[in-house]
Amino acid sequence: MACDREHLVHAYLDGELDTAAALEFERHLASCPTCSPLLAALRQLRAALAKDHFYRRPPAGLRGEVLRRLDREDVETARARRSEVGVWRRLGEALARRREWLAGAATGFVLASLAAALLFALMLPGRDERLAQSLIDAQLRSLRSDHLVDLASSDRHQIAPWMAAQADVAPPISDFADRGYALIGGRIDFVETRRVGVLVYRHGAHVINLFVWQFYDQAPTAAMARDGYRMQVWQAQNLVFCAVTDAPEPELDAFVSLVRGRLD
Amino acid sequence: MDERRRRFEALMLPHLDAAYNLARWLTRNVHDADDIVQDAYLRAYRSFDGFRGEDAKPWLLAIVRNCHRSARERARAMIAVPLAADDGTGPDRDEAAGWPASAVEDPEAQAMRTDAARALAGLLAALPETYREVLVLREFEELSYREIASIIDSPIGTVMSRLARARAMLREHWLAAHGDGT
Ligand SMILES: [Zn+2]
Repeated sequence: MACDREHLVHAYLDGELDTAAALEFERHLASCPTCSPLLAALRQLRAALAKDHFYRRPPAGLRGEVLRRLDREDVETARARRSEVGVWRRLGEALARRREWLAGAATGFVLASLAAALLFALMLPGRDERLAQSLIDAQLRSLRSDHLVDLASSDRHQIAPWMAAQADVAPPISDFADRGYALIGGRIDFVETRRVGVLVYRHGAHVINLFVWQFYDQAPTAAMARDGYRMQVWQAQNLVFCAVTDAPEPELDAFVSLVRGRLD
Repeated sequence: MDERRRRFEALMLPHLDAAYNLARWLTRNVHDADDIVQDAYLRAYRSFDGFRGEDAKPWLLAIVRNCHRSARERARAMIAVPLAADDGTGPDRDEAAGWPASAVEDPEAQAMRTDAARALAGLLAALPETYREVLVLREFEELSYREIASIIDSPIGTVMSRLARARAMLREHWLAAHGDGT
């Protein structure tokens, strides 16, 4: 025989009814031919499931194993933090050494490029110092040879095939000169053994580097700011985009939405 | 040891038993349970900044459950190719099919004091996972419906109906195997 309050038997057994509801249900139990045997059966089942037979205790070594995992995590976090600090300090030193070489608008440009390279390094898996060092070296090499853009052009039909051939990446390319973001050229950077394409835009006195590479691992959508530089990373069409600039945040946002608007 | 680590240990280590018990009943296997618990603690530690002082036990157990599910997904992905197409009975079909080998090999189960308890453990281990997990959380961890709902990320009504179904299935199998007595 069914009873429409059967579900309350479980709630009652589990102490989920408030006092009033429990009292009311006890009155019902006294007279219901369905609910009271069900309650008895459930109590029997609960007794059979006695915790001391069924509770699985962890092996003696597990706690220590967990703590060791946490130790390793602490060590890795500390190492990542140290290498970040080291990288930023060395960037500061490198910039100080090179500063006298640079002048005017070129300063902003070079700073943005360096910051971009560095942020890029920090995002890559491993974040290791060797990688960051190789980025800085590559960047400084390019500065010495006045390597700001490899291909000075605002013609996307010219940049696209060149970048596809050089960096194996074929992003959609747009000039936003009419909106204040003028495409001035493209560059190929080396990151470890990987070639990445860089589209270079000028916005007033600021330069925006738009790094593009094939999606190959996690690079979650993110924004970060550091030492006056801002970066936004996102993914679209199997590519990872990373815009870096010293322009103010609203202007970077405007640029990013222009690019993303063109992509979507 | 820094403050964050100290706080994490103080809040989360007391629930190691609960984490392991849940992992064992989910994986039904000693080695997998070890891995799940270690993964879960590491994940919990990494996302500890997102812990806002709510109850630590359900928070941790939800992570244990997620670790188990992603490990199972990974395992499925590796063996998915040679299997036949999905028969549409849902993700628990293999677990519901019968007595899992791992439950039989389980040394603790073998050490069970009574045959009846061992048999019941086997029946519980053979329940589909969605029913097994609510029953384990309720009977062995004595969590409230609300806490269980937060762990399985479902409404309380779902907890209630699964719990009722789980108990009905367990009773049914048990009666079938042992008659009306104990
Ligand atoms: Zn009734």
